[in-house]
Amino acid sequence: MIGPSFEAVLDAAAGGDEAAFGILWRDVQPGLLRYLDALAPGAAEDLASETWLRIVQGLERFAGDERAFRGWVFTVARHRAVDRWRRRVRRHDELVPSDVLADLPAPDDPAGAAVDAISSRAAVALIATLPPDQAEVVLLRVVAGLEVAQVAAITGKRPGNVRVLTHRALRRLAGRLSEVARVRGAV
Amino acid sequence: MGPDGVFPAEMPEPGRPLVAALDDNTVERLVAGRLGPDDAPPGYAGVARVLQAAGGPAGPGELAGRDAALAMFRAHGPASRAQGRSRPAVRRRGPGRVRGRLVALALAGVVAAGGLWLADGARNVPGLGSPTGGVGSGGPGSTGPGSATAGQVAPARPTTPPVTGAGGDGRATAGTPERSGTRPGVSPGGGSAHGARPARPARPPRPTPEPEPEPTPKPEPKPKPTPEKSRPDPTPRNTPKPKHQR
Repeated sequence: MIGPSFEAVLDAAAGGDEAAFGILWRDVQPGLLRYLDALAPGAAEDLASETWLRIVQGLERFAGDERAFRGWVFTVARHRAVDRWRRRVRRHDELVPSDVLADLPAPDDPAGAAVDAISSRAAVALIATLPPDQAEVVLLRVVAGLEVAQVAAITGKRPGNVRVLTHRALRRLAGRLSEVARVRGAV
Repeated sequence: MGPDGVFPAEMPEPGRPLVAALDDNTVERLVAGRLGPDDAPPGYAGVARVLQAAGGPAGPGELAGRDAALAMFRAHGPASRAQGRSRPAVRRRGPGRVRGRLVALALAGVVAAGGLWLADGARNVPGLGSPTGGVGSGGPGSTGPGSATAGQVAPARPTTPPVTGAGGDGRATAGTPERSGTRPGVSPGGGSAHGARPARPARPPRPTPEPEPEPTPKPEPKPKPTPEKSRPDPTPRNTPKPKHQR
């Protein structure tokens, strides 16, 4: 989070200050990539670029504090991800030959990777294994740093529903991690 | 409720570690990364670690696109638009807006002129004003426009039937507006025919009022279609009726 200087940074960026935009980008981009990586694996960079293009185009018209700005960015990102998903579903180009899949190495267990390395990438990968609505709620709260009300607005859910999903997600994560630890301890 | 205050569905299977239910405050602290693994409730140390890692600082690869983002900002950002924003853009918008305003003004003028014209026509309708004024003005001007106005202006309709019977019988000019006024109405054509015999010279204007009253019947057929539209309604309504009765 940028903090109290956010307003000045935003004003400067809206006025065309490249350094100010760089501050905004640096603050939001990591979370944006993590969120998009969970929503659309393999397309996070492209979707983030599309998102930033929209943000840059509407920067002058934006008015709000830092949380509102982050909420706006992640709302745009979500729309980009949903649009991409719709396009791909329409084109049916997600069908991959099975022999290609057979040649691919098996992915590592995200839970094990998260326990071991605890890199942000592994942590996001583990969160992404949750049911999609739970994963999105947790990512928007943890990675984007949004409030319950903002997450509810972005996902089109009620705040109470967001809280319930968060509870369930954390409990499921806890169960999964403790099971991994138990299995490793047994081994 | 189970023994530890959890619902049966939340109870762990035998052999699995117990994952306690969290209160809202603990969830908020976990999600915000303020609750470390050591302070986390039993079973949530790993979750605290994962959430802290997920919300952690940027990795090296995550900021690799900074130059591209800045280039995009230069190309599409406010500064580039300030350079290209410009008179042409304003000019592009200008003609459209001016055209729209001109069209709106023209329409307003037409409506205003029509209103004035209607008002004049309504005044000229014999029977609306004094009988003398109606006759005098109805001669030259009311044959064309007056007939249309008599049909369009609603108050003229109730007044026209008495006019046909009262004073318009023998006057040729008054016959045409009356007819046009009565057409949308019921059938005073019989009454006007009595007085229209001397008014035959008024027949030539018939073709002219005929196209004009066309807009006048429009409002009347409008109520007609509504009962017609309501016709299909009764059929489905009739069908459910027996259902209700059943």
